[in-house]
Amino acid sequence: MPSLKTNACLAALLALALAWPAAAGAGPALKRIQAENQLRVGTTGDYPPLSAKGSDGKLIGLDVDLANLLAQRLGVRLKLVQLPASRLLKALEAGEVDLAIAGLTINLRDSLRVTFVGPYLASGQTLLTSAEVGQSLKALADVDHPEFSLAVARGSSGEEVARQMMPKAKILAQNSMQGALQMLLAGKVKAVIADYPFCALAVFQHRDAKLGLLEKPFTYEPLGIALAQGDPEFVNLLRNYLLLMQGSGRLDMLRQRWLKREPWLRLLPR
Amino acid sequence: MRKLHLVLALVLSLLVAASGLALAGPVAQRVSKNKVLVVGTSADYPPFCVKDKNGQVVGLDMDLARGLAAALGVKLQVKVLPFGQLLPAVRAGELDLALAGITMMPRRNLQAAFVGPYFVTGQGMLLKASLAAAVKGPGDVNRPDFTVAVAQGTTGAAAAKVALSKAKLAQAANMEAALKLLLDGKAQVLVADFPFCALAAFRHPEANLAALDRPFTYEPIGMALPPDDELWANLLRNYLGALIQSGRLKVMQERWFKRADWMKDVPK
Repeated sequence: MPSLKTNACLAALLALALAWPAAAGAGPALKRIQAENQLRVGTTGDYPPLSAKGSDGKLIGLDVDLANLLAQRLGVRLKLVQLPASRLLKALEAGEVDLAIAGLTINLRDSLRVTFVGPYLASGQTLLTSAEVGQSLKALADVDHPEFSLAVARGSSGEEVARQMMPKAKILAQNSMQGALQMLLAGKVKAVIADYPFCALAVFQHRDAKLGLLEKPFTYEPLGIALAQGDPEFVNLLRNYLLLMQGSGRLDMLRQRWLKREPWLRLLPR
Repeated sequence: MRKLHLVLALVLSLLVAASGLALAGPVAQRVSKNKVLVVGTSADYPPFCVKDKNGQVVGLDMDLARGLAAALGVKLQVKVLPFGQLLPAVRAGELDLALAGITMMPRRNLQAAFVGPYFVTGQGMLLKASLAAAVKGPGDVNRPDFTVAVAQGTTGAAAAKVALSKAKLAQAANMEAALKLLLDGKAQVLVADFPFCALAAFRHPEANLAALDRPFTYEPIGMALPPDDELWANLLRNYLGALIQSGRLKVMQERWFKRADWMKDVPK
């Protein structure tokens, strides 16, 4: 009888059998967060006002505040990990970060890979224009008009919305969101179609241009917190955290701070 | 070798059984097998949970527990434990549920899962009825000429230090002592849990007190359940959803928070 090997093998299996229910009961992420006394959150740092890099190199934004407050309430340290958008979901799947908070839209395709909790913000494609033009716009037909010119970033959701909802308008596709915004600032187009956070930022980043935006976006893009699949305890905690933030009015304060007011702009590099 | 396979098969089937059990939802399975729902409570936090003159636990929490047991067609067993032992007992699987006016907060959520809120509370204010017309919120009493009574170390004391930083703080050893400061006229305002304030106004009709009709902080109250049991959480979420949609929850809340008739059955 190959006793030693067999026994070792059995012992390993038994250990697994014993460890399994315990591990499942404790919740993998929560257990790790408590053991390491640290919450690891991935964010991009390239999507102000949600996630940006300040002039001192620190990550700032609404998403960063959400991460900070969560860590604070759990009584653990926060470790922010800056990752490009294309790496976020992979990092969650690989267990390199506990959460991704990075202006992520809750969508079905990504929900096949990760779990979302939220929304903490309802974003969507909206219209940015001068306050003057804005006042003359009463209905979609005023925009969906051959004499109305729009700038969009090529290949963006904004372009998609413009082509679907305003097919009669003159649509000028630019290389980037910034490029589209420059067209508006230079007076070469009447409006820009882009996502809500970008438009909100443009309004107070270019005060002199007196811009305004459509408060109710054309599309509904709920933003959520992403985590690895199969962790109901962590989901429960996050859902309750957002409930607390919402109910206490704290989330609304964060929205005001980052999307409606400009004082934080001084934190950005010049 | 055959023996080894047999043992391996046994261990593997054990593994499968263990994981299978977890997937099927251990609590729902246990409740339907034993035909009993085991609910833990502290029985010391009226009107959520309190012992009546016969020693029976009553309150909003017990209405919820009874309604759930009835909906499931099982008996209800109430276990009274000190508040601090409730979450560990839930976690250890000794309770199917804990209901004791527990505020859902991230730190507690590390120990147990929470479904709710079934009630939203927060810190309330109790004052002389004559002042009530002029006071709508903490801003109206945040003045040096107001003395605010609180119980040391409570959420109320912490909230008062933040929201009423300009007022004088009178710290009493416990809730009853803080209330006495108000009753004796040594403080004009008491800051405490919203239910406590509402209750105190009922308990001392002779003192002519009024509680602010809304809490000024946000504390969602939820049901605590064992972690990692999605089926049980789903069931409770749907139970609560039905109570809210049907208006039953509102009736229960009003019975315990808006009316005083239950107080005659509870020792003073």
